[in-house]
Amino acid sequence: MSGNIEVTDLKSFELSLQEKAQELLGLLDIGDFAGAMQILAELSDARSTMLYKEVGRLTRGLHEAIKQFNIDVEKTAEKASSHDRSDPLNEVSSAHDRLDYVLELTESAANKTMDMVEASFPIAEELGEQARLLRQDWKNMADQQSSMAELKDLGRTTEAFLLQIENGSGNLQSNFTEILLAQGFQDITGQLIKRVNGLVNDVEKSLITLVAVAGKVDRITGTKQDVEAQARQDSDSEKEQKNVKGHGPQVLKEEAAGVVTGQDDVDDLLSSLGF
Amino acid sequence: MTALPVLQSGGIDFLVTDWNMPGMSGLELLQKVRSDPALAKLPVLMVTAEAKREQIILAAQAGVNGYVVKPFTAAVLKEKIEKIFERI
Repeated sequence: MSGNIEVTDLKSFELSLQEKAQELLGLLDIGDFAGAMQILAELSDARSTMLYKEVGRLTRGLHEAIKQFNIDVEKTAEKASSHDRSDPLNEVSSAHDRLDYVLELTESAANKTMDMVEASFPIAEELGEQARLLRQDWKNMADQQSSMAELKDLGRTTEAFLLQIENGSGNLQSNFTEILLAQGFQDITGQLIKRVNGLVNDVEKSLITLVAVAGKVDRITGTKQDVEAQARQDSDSEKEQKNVKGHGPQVLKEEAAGVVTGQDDVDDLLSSLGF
Repeated sequence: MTALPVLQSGGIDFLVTDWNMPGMSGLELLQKVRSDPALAKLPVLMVTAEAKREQIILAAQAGVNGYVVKPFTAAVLKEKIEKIFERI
């Protein structure tokens, strides 16, 4: 009769399981039921020990993953606050906040740009209109004999128009500057998104490790998870729902499967459908 | 959500819609427009960032008259609108 089963890892557990099973069969053959029960008890103990060990590993893994996530978020917040106290990044302490901030920045940049363009349209329109009227006046003057008073009038109108151009171009210039400055959002949002992306990668890596550990627990307990079937079922109904509700903006590029690469691709697809 | 009552109250000749909108998606709006006898023939142009092939097919099946993916240029928008009006 052998002693307690020493388990160090899953592989040795499975090896000793095979060994003990042979031994158990041998004992049953010769009618040593007490010995057989002893082996069964040992196997059960070994299984429990192994299970606790793996669950412990799983818990530690989960703990590490959460800790890692927190550290990363804190680091980002610290970096931001050490950079500039009044920096709006100060408030950004989590990925969620960061993405909210990206939304806010892009929205305000878009609004500002549209406001400035809207404010510039009438200036350009008015200058064009005044120029057209003045050109007409000059043409009339050239075509016919004009009195001194009329010439003076034209001189004054022209002067007023030149002043209008001066003011208008000043306004346009300041609007253009505002538009240019508003594009600075890309610098900040690009960095924020890069960080969130890095964070998502880290979390994904930690989760993959966790899934591997959890898989070991499943092997010991004999749990079989029909993950694929469940995922298929979920994705079918989700897919249908998403196709109606929308997937959100796609990155238009060649590699992405099932996504058009641009308007030409859309046109080709539609014409193949008889449009 | 707000577009449908406006459309139903009449006087609208052309509908440009996004896909992603609060409340009702552009596809749902399109489906509702097509199922309303008064609006069934209204020309609809979808202007959206949704770029999956199956979605474009879905929109085509739902009866969209044109589909423009974002980002787009003013020239493309103009071309598509003109194309739609040429056909009707």
